[in-house]
Amino acid sequence: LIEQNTVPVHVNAKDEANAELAARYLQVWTPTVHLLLSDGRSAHEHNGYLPPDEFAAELELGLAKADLRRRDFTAAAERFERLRDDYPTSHVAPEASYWAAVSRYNESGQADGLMAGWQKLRDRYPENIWRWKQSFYE
Amino acid sequence: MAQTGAIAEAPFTWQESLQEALEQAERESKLVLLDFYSPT
Repeated sequence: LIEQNTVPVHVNAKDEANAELAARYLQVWTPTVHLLLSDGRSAHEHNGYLPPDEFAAELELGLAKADLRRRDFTAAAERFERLRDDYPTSHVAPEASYWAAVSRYNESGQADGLMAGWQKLRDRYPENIWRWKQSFYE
Repeated sequence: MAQTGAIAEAPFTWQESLQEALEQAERESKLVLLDFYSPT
């Protein structure tokens, strides 16, 4: 997953030689992982240790967010939906469900996809914070 | 914890230069995974 989608860069946050780079990305705590667009902007940031399966899900979330931030809404929707369906019990599944609906809405301009996606979110994760983020609509 | 879960045991080669990584990512239509770690 990492090699297929990313070019990995390892930075020792304790090395003074990396102080400028650490400051540029507002680095405070390790481990911290960013997914960067090719212009160097961060499309996703994650802090803290995760076991391998959850890290993979977090990475998938970041890849989907990068598609969304580049306004490739079809690719983003497909990635978020695949993540939601392939990792339904992971910590990122509710967030993926939220953004999948937003991506479909941006793709089509039709509110139907947004409402249908958020209905799935409410049904699957009724107590999750990502359900509350769309609760203004309920 | 020095590194990030799955990354710690990953068998691939790390890029040392961010600029080179960004250029490679542009050529290969990839993202750069920037991992800040603390050595143990």
